[in-house]
Amino acid sequence: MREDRVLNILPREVRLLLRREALNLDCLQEIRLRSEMPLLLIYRGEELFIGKTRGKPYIVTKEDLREMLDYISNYSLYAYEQEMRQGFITVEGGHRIGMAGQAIMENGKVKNLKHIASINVRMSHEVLGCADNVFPYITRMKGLYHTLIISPPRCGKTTLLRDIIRQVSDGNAYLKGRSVGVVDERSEIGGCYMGMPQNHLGIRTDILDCCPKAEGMIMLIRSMGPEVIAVDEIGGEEDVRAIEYAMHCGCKMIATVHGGSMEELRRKPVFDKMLKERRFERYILLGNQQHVGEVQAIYDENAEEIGRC
Amino acid sequence: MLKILGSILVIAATTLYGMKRAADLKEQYVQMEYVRQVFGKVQSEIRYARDPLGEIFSHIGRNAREPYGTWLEELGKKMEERDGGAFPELWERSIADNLCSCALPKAELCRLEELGGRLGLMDIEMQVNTLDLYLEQLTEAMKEVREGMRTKVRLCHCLGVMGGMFIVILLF
Repeated sequence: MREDRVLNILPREVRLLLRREALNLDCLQEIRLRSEMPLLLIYRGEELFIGKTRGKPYIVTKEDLREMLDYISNYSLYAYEQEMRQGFITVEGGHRIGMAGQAIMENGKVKNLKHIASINVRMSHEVLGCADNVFPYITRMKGLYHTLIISPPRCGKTTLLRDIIRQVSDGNAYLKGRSVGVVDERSEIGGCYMGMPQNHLGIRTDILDCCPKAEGMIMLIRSMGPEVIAVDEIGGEEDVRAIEYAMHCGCKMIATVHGGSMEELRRKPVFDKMLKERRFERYILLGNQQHVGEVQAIYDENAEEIGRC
Repeated sequence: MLKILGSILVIAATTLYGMKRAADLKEQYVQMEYVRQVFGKVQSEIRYARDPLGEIFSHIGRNAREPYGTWLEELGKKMEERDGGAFPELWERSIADNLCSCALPKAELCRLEELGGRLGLMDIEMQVNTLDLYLEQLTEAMKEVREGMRTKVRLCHCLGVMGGMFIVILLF
C-alpha cells in the first residue's frame, strides 16, 4: 500500500514502534520528529504520543534524525540539494518531508540546511472520487472551466486537484476524457518515483516531474499539446504569466493557490489583477471546519458564490 | 628415464606457476582499469543526472562485468530497502561480501572501502571532486603498476623456469 511506503523512510526504532501500535496508516496525517523531543503523530486529527512503554513517549535522538535523513535522501543528499533549499523533500508515494535546522547561506540566499533538528512527515492521501461534487460547477456542456482551487495549508487542495485531474483525464459523466499536462514541481500530485506516478492521474495524463511550473507549462504546451494543464500552488508572477500564456494557447487551466478566502486572494497584487481580468472562471474555496477537504464555496468569474457542497 | 620425466614435470609446473603469477599481475591492471571506468560512469551520472547513489549503482550494475555487476546491484537493492543503517557500513559490508576474492590489489580494495565514507554527502560539487580525487589516485596507482608490470612479468616467467631448474638440481 502507498501509505506503507512511508515506513521505509523512518528510523528503525520508530518503524518498530509504529508497527507495534498497528495504526491505520490511512488515518495518519503527520509524523513529527524533533531532536530530544517526544515522537508526535497527528492521527485522526489529534495528537498522539507513542512509546515503548505505555504513557512514556519515545524520545527522538539525533541519531534517529541522521538515520532518517539517510533514508529520505536514499543516502544521497547531494541529489536533493535543490529541494533541501526549499526546506522539504517529496518521497516515493508523494509524501512531503519538511525539515528545519540551520540554514547555510550563500550570497544572501539559502544554499542548504545543516544540523537538521526537526523533521515533519506529511502523509499524502489519495481520495478517489473526492472531486465528484465539484464537477457540476466546473463543467458546462461537456467543457471544462478554467478553475482555481483556493485553500489554506492542510485542507486537501492537492488531493482535490489530483482527483479532478484523474477524472478529466479518464472522462466522466460531465465531460469526455481529455489530454492533461501536469507540471509537478514538488512531485506531490503524481508522487512520481523514478519517473513513474504513484498516484492515479488518469490515462491521458502526461507529467513533467520536478520541473519549475512556469517553464514546465510552456514546455508541455510545445511538446505534448495538452488540452488541460494542471499545476499546484501557484504564487509567483512568472507562474501567472505562464498561466496566461497557456490560456491564450487554448488550454484549460486547473490550479491551486494558498489562501483562506477570496478577499485574501484579492490582497495579493498578482492575483487581484487576475481576478479583475476574470482569467479564471471558477474558484473553489476549501476549508477544514467540518472535515479536511470541505468545499466551503464555489465562485464564478465575477467572484459571486454559485454553490456549496 | 623416470628422473628425466620427473624433472620435466617439475620445470613445467614451476613455469606454469610463474606464468599464472604474471597473468594475475596483468589481470590486476585490467581490473583497476575497469573500476576506473565504473566510477567514471558513476561520476557522470552524479554530475549530469543528479540521481541518488542507489539508482546509479543499480543502473550501472545491470551492465557491469562480474563481480562488479552483482556488487553494485546488491548494494543498490540494499540501499533501496533502507534497512541497513549508515551508508559507510553498507558500503564496507557489500565490498567484503562481493569483492574480497576479486583480482584487485589489497591497497585498491582499502581505497575503495574508504571512498564509502565520502559518498552521499551534501554537496554535488563535493561529490564530483571526491570522485575526481579517487579516480586520480587510481590512475596514479595504475601508472605505477604499469611501470613495474613489464619487469615483474619477466621476473615471474624467469623465476618460474629457474625455480624449477633449481629444484631439479637439488633433487639430483
